[in-house]
Amino acid sequence: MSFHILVQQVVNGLVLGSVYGLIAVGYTMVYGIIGMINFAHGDVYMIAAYLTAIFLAALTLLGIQSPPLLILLVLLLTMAFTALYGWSMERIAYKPLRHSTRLAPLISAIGMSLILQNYVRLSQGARSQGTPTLIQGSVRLFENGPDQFVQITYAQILIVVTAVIGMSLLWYWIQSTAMGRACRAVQQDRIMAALLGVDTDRVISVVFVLGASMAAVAGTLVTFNYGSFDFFIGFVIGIKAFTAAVLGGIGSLPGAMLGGLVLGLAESIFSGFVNTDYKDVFAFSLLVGVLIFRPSGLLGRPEVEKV
Amino acid sequence: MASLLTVHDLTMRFGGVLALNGVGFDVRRGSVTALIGPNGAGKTTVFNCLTGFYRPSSGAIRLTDADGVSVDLIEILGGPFRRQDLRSPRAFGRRLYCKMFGGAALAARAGVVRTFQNIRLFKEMTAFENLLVAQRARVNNNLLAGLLSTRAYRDAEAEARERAWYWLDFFRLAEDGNRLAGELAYGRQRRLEIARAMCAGPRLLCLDEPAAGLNPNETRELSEWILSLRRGHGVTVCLIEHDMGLVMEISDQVVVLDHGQVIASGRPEKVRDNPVVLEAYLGVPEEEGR
Amino acid sequence: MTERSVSGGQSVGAVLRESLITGVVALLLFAPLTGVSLSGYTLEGHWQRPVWLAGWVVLGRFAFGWLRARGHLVGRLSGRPKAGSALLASWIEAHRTFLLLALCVVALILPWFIGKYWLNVAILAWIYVLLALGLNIVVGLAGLLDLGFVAFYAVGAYGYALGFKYLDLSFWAALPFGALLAACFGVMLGFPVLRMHGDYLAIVTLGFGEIIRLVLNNWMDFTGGPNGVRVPFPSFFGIEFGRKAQPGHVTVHEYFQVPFSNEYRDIFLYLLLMIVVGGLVFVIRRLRRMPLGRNWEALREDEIACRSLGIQPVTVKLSAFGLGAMTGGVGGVFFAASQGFVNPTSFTFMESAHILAIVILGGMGSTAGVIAAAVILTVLPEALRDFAEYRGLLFGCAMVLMMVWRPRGLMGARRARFDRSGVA
Repeated sequence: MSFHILVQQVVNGLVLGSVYGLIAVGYTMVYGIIGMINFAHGDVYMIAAYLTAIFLAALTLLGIQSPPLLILLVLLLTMAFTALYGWSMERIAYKPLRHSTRLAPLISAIGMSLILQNYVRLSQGARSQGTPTLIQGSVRLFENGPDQFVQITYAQILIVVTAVIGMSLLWYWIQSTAMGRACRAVQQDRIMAALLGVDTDRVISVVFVLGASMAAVAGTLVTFNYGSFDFFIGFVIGIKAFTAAVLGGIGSLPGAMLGGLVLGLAESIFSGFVNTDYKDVFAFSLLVGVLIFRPSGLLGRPEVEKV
Repeated sequence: MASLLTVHDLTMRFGGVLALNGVGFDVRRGSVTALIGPNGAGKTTVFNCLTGFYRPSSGAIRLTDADGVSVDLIEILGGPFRRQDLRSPRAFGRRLYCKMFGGAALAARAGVVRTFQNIRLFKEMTAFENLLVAQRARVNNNLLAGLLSTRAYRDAEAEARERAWYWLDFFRLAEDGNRLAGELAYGRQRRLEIARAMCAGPRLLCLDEPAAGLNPNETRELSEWILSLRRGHGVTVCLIEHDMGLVMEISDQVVVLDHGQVIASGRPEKVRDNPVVLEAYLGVPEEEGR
Repeated sequence: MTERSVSGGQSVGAVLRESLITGVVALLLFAPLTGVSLSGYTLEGHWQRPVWLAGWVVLGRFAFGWLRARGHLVGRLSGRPKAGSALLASWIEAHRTFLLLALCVVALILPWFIGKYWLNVAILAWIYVLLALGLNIVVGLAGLLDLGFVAFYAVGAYGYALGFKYLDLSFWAALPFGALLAACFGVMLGFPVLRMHGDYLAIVTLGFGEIIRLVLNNWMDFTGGPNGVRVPFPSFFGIEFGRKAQPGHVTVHEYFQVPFSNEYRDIFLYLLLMIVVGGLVFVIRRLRRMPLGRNWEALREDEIACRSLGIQPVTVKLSAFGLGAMTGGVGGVFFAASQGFVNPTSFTFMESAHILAIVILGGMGSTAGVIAAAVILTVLPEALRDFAEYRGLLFGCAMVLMMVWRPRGLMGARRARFDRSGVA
């Protein structure tokens, strides 16, 4: 009995963790490069959820029926448009603040978050929205009677597989392309990289675009899986993804994925065995705890203060 | 003359990098000591250890004042708990206090005050306020006294203002008193930073490249100021400087660092002619060096 | 034209081209989210909306670029208030005492004439003044971004509500109790958190705010969960404001021999809030010239320099955090007293953002600016229904614009001047 629950929660935790990891990438890359918390990143995810539903409805109206084709097209369209949102956000709210006071970018990011939430609320309404289920079916493992089984839906499998593919592509891009190298150089030392001819503004834009598209992948997949969303979903998931990024070591890409998985598993097991009502409290307490006791996270290097 | 500061076998590791390796030197009371050496030799790291910003991997730094009372500048950074601490509640309490509140602030309270290579003023506050902030130890910090504006509080504030004016005058910054520190010209910011350090009542004044970015005139003024601080105000000065003219003119002792080690120390003219120092600065071709 | 490009501007053609590119991007951004809206699983078209929006963006971008090309905006963008507001500031400076007196008189007369609805709005405005002044200590003076300020507000409000429910605390006992409780929470949270530097603090306080709200919402047995808790109305030295007094007490209309009106209670709260705010303003004024206040600001400017001067960042930050939390707690007690009821929906992140927006629009660090912003931003949504609808959007835009355009606030904080008098 409890074995089945445990395995089921581990499965759910892995799925949740992949989602957190995908969003955490955006936090961790932006923090690594310009040292700010992009508070509006969770709302980028929310934008992606709305875009997914809108593109799905539009493509269905155009007469496309085959689910795989729909999924692929919606995913690509959402990624493209969300990336555009990420890029514009950086241009409007963060780029003018490169040399401003310490608090300015963060306050601007909070403003951006309010703008995105209210923009969607005003244009799409405050009520919760949904999409039809595209991916049906599931597999059952360890079946041992009518109530004793572990169920994995195809949508969950799709989430994990896509997350793995997405992260691998991103990792390959960072490690092997010229732009990826420039990114790493800017992360090490922005001024030096600029002196050596790296276009840092472009690198920063690219990082926002990549972070937003990863959040878009997460938004699209979750929308396909759960189907329901509103204009405020970005807030909680944003804090949790940020927790994942900190847990893994902010600035570290593998750390973001690892942190996501750890957080997803911990949260899912907590809600399976302790209490569902307090799972958000648990996640936030984890964030506070990690920041206090191990601010450099699992894979991050301890920071040496620059005097 | 007795030593104010003794540095013994100071070692500092950052990950795998050995930034300081067995650095040791003494600073006599009332002297001017210059730390010199090529870039990356570890001068600023020594400063950061002296002023409590870094905790060295090993070694000892001790500050002894004229009455013979001495402070361990490493203990106050709050090291890890030791077994002995459990036996003595006092030692335990002290370590706990240092762990919670320790670091550079306690080093400064012990009398080691510094300036920074890239000037760190309170830019959005006036020059005068910068100097008031520095007098933490001398003003009346009692919250209630301030709110009620008691006699003692007003007297302490008046005294603090007087001292701030004194140092503004000393560094010829009086006309800039009510301007924002961030708006002052570069050379004036450097002076204000030294004035601020003096307001904190230092026993050891650590200046990190005080002449960087100053023109020859300003540098000459600076050397006069440093000398008169030592003569007239009983301050011991320790400075990092690249301007050899300034170093040779004002220092009693020069300590040369290279690759995290002291390669020479002594009177300026002695150090200047030391072949090892010349080699470190100018480099010597391989075949001649071996 | 060439001269202008040298001075940092651009030719009209270039500005036009840039505006059009911006317009295309804006059209792409607006088209899917405003051009259609979800309705069940299908879509409703509103094709005119993105076109209008993009049109406005093009116009705005062009006007901005053109003005900048003409050199009109050069001085304004440097972030320091220039001629116009300086003139206003000096005028205010000159008539300071008179203005203050006049404002006080108006504020005293106001509650007797504005009616029940606006009286409640005015009380809310005072509460926001209190909260914003508290947050201003933390954000504006000490430079610590606290995104969970609402947690202390909630602690104060629930401190009164639950204190009455379980300990039978009166309003007058709840005021110090709520304040101390909130300060304790602030110090408890602050002590571990304030040692780490940078933006982490913002996120931790945000998480803390949410934890408090979720606990209040989920702990049914103790807090009543979403159903909330009833709060009694305050009394004044045993004189009650209800229609009928409890045995052994007397009501205010009986005492003063006037007909009953439940407005007296609100007027009482209003006047009391005014006194509390006045006291707080006085304390803040004193603090800013005291060593502690100077240390707050120094810490905001440069923590490393502070440590090099022997200032202990943890204790200084903690005092700001605790004092801010305390003010939040007092605000919470008043909120609970004025509403007669509290439940967790009053303490969402949106509330924290609202208070933060007030502090930022008022100009971080400026007491007068923050008070003005709190009053305007509370009264305006009540006066203009449309404004209430767009409030969140406007707050967001205002925060971004303020940071980009004038991060030090519209007026800019006044600095104390020192002269040599008495020293010479």
